[in-house]
Amino acid sequence: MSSSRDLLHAILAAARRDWIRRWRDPLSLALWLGIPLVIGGLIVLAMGGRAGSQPKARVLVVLHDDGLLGELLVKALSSEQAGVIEAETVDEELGRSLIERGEASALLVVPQGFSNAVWNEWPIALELVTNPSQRILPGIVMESLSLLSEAVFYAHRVLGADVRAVLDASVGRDELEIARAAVGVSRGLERVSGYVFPPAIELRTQVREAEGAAPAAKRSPAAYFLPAMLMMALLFMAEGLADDVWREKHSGALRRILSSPTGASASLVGKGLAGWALMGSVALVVCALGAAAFDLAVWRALLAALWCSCAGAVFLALLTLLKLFASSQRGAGVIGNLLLFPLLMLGGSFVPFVMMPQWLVEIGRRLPNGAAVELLDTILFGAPRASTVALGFAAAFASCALLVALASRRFSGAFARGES
Amino acid sequence: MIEIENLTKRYGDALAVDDLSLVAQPGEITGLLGPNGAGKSTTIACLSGLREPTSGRVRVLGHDVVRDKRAALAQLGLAPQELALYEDLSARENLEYWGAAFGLRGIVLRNRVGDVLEAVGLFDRADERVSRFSGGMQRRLNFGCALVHSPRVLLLDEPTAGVDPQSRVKLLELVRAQARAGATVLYTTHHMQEAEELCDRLAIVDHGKLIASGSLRELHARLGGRDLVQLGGAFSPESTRAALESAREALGEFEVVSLDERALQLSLRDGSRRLAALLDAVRQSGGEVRETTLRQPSLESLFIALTGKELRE
Repeated sequence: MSSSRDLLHAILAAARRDWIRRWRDPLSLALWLGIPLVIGGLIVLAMGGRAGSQPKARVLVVLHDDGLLGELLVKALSSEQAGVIEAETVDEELGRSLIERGEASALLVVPQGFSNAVWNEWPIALELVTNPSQRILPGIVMESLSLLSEAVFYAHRVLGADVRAVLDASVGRDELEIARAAVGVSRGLERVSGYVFPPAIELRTQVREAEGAAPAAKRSPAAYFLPAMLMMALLFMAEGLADDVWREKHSGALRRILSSPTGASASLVGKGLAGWALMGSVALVVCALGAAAFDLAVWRALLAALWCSCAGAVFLALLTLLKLFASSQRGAGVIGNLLLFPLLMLGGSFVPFVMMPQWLVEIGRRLPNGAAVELLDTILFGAPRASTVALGFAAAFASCALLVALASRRFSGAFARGES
Repeated sequence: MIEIENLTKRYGDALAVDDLSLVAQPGEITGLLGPNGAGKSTTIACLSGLREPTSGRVRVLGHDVVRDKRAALAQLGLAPQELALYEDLSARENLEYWGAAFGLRGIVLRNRVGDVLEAVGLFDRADERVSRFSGGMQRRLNFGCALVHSPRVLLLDEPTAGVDPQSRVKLLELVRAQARAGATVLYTTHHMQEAEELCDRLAIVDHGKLIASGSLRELHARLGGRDLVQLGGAFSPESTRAALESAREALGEFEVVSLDERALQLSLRDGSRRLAALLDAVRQSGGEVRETTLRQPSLESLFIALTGKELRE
């Protein structure tokens, strides 16, 4: 039997061993994946979630008034600026039955004579019935109505006399008076236009497509968080998996591994291989879900998963090497955490680079996970160049080989002998 | 065959093994006996390639463990004192892994795993996770993992530590079966009774030095059939020694193993018959006896006779 075949066989046996062990510990897997997903999910929710998916308030308006202001009120409520509110006119019977059934956020009843009362500053009451099973959306409706009533008050102060003149003119005055009143309204609007309407500046921009830039489609906050959260999960996994060398040492398995002809290196490489496959599998699932959610091409998801597994293997090798220098398992845990959290915070694996100050981004990009998350983002959402991707994979392989060689030396040497 | 020649292992200034020489023959169980810290585990570590000797040579089946490590280790099966098992794997998966790590594969591996499961009495629970096993079952599996690649040399480091009596009997029978099949077995323990029961040859070590070796019969003969008498109380060492010399005729042939202000140990023939004369001599020297122990010739009395202390100390 050739020794290289024996070595390969021992590596695969160790990889199989750890692969089975990892899947037998679903709680750890759930934690490694769950923490970033929960953090990411909460942040994305706080920022408004995915584009187009925000909830809307359905407001039913029963319009008994046939004047201009009733119509304007409906339009103002569901104006594009309001966004959150969708107002629709219904008859009173239907409106009341819909709100009873909880199928709308609010029912607004505009009484007859509403427009006339407003222009003449006579007291008038609107009836608003809210849905008790909703809290936030009816609140938004009430707030919007309150803003509109304030707007009406100021409009009165500026234009009230002239509008009243127009309305009076329309019921029997001559054309000259109507024209005079219209000019008055126009002048009034001109006076306040500087305060009410800000200068309209049209900015024409031309974006040159650069490598790494997102394609023309607008990215939602969730899409910015996907690479960051995936990298955070990989770092958590690498930190957890790296602890296994200490478990093997305490159990006595390391002693027996060292007495095998293929030695500790085969076991360590097998361990890395299992970690690589595990992180690749997890990344593949997350990337496939991401591709479905953000309409990404299949090749992007596959390449991203492959990149994640390679980057994860580098993190695993790095953390294993550092933990092998600890004097105890507890010390190894402290070393892991001391490294993990700064890497997460600075390296765009907690908050995406686009939301970080530029000077911090410059530091973060130089960290291993920062470089990895940047390439991952480009693969998923940008325009990756083949040369850049190839360089990334080559750097990952080279780093991994170097770190595994150093870790293997330590694992079978001073660490195994308890001289750490 | 295991050959240890003038093995010395130092950790800085501390001398763990001091010029130890020993040969373990195929088909025999050689016991390495000594108290904790005597150098047994360091000797096993040097034999299994975990540590390199400071000086001396260690050979397994003629292969030098330092220079020809791979060939030496390929024939070696190690059952460390700690359980070298993966608790989240089943018994079968553990055996499959260790077999593969030692170069077995395919049908040979599968057959061998089945044989070992049968031998250690875990065939019916082969697919259960090790974490659900009792301590005795885990010990048996730990031993099985050392056997799975059919090694010609077995290093067993206190394999019965913390095991219930039933599992202990089963384990000792498994060890005997390996020796009968021709394996060279080096068995470390600090249980005298277990060593007497199991081992064909014994090497007694203390402070890293070999203090006695040979078959059980040879070691018993070293005591010359003398009993060991231990007296506890208050003694004046010089006057006690003088009183014992004066009573040499009544005491017969004896040897003072140790003597201080609180204890006296001596080996003598027909201890029970000469006890009264011994107590008279001690009393005449002004000593006061509060406790008396008489031991028949055994490994334990030999160890005390050689080192002046009990093995568990």
